[in-house]
Amino acid sequence: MAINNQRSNLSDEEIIEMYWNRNENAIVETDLKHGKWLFKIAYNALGNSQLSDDCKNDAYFDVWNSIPPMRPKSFTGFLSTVVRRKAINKFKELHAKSRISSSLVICIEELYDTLASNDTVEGAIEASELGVIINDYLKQVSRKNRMMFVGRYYFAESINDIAKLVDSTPSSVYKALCKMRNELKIILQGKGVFL
Amino acid sequence: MNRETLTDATEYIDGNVINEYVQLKSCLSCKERSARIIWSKKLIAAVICVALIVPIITVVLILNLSDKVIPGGIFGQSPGIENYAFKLGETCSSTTSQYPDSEITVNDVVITNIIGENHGYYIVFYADIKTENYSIVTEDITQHGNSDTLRVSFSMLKWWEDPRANDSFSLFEKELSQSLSEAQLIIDDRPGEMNGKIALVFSIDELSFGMIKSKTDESAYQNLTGKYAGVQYCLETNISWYKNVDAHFVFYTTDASYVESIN
Repeated sequence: MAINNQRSNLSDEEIIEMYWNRNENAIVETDLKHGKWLFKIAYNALGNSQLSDDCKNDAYFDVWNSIPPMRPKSFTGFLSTVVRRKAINKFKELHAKSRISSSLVICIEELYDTLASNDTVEGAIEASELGVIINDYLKQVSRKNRMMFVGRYYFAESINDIAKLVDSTPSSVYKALCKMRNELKIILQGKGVFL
Repeated sequence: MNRETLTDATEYIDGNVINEYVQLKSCLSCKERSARIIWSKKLIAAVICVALIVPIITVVLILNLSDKVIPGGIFGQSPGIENYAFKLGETCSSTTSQYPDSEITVNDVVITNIIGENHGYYIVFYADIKTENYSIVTEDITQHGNSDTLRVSFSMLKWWEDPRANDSFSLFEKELSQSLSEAQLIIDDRPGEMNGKIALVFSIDELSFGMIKSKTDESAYQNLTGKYAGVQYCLETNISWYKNVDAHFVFYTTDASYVESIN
């Protein structure tokens, strides 16, 4: 689906209602309103326009099948989660065959480099367990830091974009992310993830 | 822990945190969009302002120029001349039975090229009528003279101490004859009163206009300007009360940006 420069005038609630009424224009309206942002989420993970577009369209299909019965409180959050999940799955699939170049690779590498330090021995940890630790950590930090972390390591956004979002400078964002990664490492060490 | 575990772990980030981020992102988009809209509106407003102001300024400038070009526009806006315009030969009421038979002093003779609705070339005599106890009645003009033709002849005269002395010579002479109905008379006083100012407006052809202009330039070249120098215009008509009119000359160029006075 081509990226459209028009914008939908409908609210998220109205679009959800269209899904509930099985009105196929709901997808068009979703794309008009959120298409660009959803494409970017996929693109940050995959680094390929065609794949990102496919991923977005697959996500629309999933959304169409999920609503109803679902009625998401945050339609944008729901959409971004669906698209990201699609993108991550595609990312894993491609990554298994060969390394791909995308923002997500850089971001995960950045996180991994700090957390998986050479002078420690890693213990085994499940993704879900690590997710809980990250969640707990994010609850402790300031909103601004939380937004920076999520922007960087969930949505794989660029430092510049995050700086613009939190109304800060790129260097400040970079330093704050560094600090958070180190704090998270200390927490992980405390939890015995590193032996 | 490997990269895949790390990638998967991010999937477990709380949905509320994700929503919080998405909302922040939407707000930023809204702000950017608003900023863009505001700038667009400002731009549109600026364009509209320019589009409105330019014609207004143009109109104002044209009007200002028009004031300079058109004496009384032709009839209405000259200082001291009110809007009493009559075509010669037009009937109007009068309380007198006497005809003025005397000189009148023309204060300004304006030759002008009027561009616009009243396009054409005109020569306008502004005159003070000094003679009292006489009345001018426009309806009487048609009764005066041989026909309804007002003959006007000009001569430019150089004078020294006394403008009316014989020490003068004619530079050129041009006769302008036209029908009374084409000439117009403006009286700044009530019709029938002799005291005050009058304006006589004659339309002239382009050739005459050019000739008068060149002769005016010529007289300027011949150093006719100065304290004692002057140009005498003789307005001689077949109407007896317009004769031997002294005048100085004000020349308006065609674009009205240049005024030359020889006195």
